[in-house]
Amino acid sequence: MANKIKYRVEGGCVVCMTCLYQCPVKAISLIEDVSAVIDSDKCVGCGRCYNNCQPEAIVPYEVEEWERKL
Amino acid sequence: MIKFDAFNANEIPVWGEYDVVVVGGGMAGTGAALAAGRAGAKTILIENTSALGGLATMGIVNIPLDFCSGLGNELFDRLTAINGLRKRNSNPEKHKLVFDQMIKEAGVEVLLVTPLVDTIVDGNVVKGIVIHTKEGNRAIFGKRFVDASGDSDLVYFAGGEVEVGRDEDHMSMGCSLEFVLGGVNYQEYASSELRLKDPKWIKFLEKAIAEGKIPDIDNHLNWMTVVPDRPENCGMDEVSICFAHSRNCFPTKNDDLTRMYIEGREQCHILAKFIKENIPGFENSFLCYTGSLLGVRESRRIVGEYRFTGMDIAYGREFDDVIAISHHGFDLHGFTKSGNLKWFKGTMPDGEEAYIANIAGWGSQLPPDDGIKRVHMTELVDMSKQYYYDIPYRALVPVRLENVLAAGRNISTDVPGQSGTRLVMCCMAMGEAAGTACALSLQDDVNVRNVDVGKLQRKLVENKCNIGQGFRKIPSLADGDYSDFMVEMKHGNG
Ligand SMILES: Cc1cc2nc3c(=O)[nH]c(=O)nc-3n(C[C@H](O)[C@H](O)[C@H](O)COP(=O)(O)OP(=O)(O)OC[C@H]3O[C@@H](n4cnc5c(N)ncnc54)[C@H](O)[C@@H]3O)c2cc1C
Ligand code: SF4
Ligand code: SF4
Repeated sequence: MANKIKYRVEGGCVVCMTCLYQCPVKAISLIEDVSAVIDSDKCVGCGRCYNNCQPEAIVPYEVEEWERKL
Repeated sequence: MIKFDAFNANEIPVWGEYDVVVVGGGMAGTGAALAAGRAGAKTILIENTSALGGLATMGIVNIPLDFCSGLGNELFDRLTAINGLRKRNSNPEKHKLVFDQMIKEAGVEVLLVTPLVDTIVDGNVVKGIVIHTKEGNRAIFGKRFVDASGDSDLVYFAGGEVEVGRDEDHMSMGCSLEFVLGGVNYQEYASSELRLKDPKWIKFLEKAIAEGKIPDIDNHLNWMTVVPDRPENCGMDEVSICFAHSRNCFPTKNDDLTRMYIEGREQCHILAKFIKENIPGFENSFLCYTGSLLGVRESRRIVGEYRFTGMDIAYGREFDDVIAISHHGFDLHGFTKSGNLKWFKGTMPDGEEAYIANIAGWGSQLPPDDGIKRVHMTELVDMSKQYYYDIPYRALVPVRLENVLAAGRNISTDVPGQSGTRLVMCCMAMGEAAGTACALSLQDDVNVRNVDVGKLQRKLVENKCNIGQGFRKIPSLADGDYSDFMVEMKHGNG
């Protein structure tokens, strides 16, 4: 079941790949040398990536609020 | 008083006798001493500087990356409890404190400000070490030894087989002196366009270097950590920065080390001024201090029973005698010029040479355009599975010597292999394995080469180490069920 909170990579990613290996559902992929990217459909909002991102490039967002913006 | 042939048969007073003697109190050595002490071995830890933690504390590498294993999880818990860890940013002072406490609780004796200066060797067996103290040299006898000095000092002094730097000219990769800036408005920086669009300052520096605003110290910001438990959100944050770089490094030569410390401090002053004048949020910043230990990424390594290589990383290789795992991949720093090399020149199984890139890309110094084929790691590993590689126990075991193990950044590797096994938490995991193995080899009365690796692996898993049991079957653990292991890993598996 999806949580209300999901996470996204906002900016400041240094491509250390830590989050890539944290994600239990493999929702994270890379744009090489540029940034990690989180697939919002796959993300279950566990927060592991967020809790381990050293440069704090990952931010939480409320799903409803985000969806309204679409 | 005891006589032995080191130092021309001088008489040297004996400091003590121990089951396990660990040299070097960095992440690896502290891990080894804790593991050996907790397993009941009478253990002493010898450290040259004034605190434990090595590069991670004295060197201000306060960015503990890689998988968290047994003792590593404990360290993270304890740091978190005293606000010493935020995400992967740690507070070096709290880190020192926690290590002091853990060592004391484990009943391990520790000698700070005490360098190892020689060894006492009988054939292939190290009998003791010589330390330098305020009262003169002293001998420490032991049954098992861990060389966690980062530079393989113990194995080298004992006449063991070692190698330094890259194969062709023994030069080590770029060394960095870290520095700390105070008075930073981190919020302002965090929301700046520079951080959001160009977090490694690559385009920004290219322009600044071209305009002559700053010398070509490096072509990217290596990393910047916000030090936890300092003033926050009031324009007074403290950050530590990895940017300065010495090139053409020979870190086992004291004259070159001296050159790098002096050059590093000079660069840190230049960088602090440049950052203050050019980076948003740093207008009121000031240089607090530079590292008291030079950031030597790679130097003298043991020649072990197995030489772990870049190709092992490229293929994400598994070994039956795994004692620690990592996922970081290659991460070399320019030997003679600026840039981060997330690639190396390897030989493919068919014998053809190739430049092989990390999953994350090529880094900021690209391979030469010389027709050699380019391979991306994603072509070599199954990206649908968890990526990791194993560090085999044999890479910790020096050839010939019977009662010494290496742990940390000086295990047996080639340079690309070293670049993917030197991460802070990985070094601690290797240390824990080495300390546990020493205790086991004493219990079973076998030399370190003949330790029952299955037994060692089961012991490590009992102590909640992550040796990959959550990802796959390890032969010695065939009977166990580790399906809930990943759930247990509180700090995640990265
Ligand atoms: C500039 C830089 C940036 C890095 N960035 C990262 C990063 O972002 N993330 C990450 O995870 N890792 C990073 N690393 C790697 C990581 O910090 C180190 O590889 C790791 O901390 C090494 O631990 P260690 O215990 O093996 O060695 P060290 O920390 O070097 O410890 C060796 C200890 O032995 C002592 N010693 C040496 N010789 C003697 C002697 N003769 N007698 C007594 N004591 C002795 C030293 O004083 C030291 O305390 C970086 C390293 C550097 C240099
Ligand atoms: S929050 Fe959890 S599920 Fe979502 S991307 Fe991060 S690690 Fe994956
Ligand atoms: S952990 Fe953070 S910096 Fe590292 S790859 Fe993920 S988003 Fe980027």
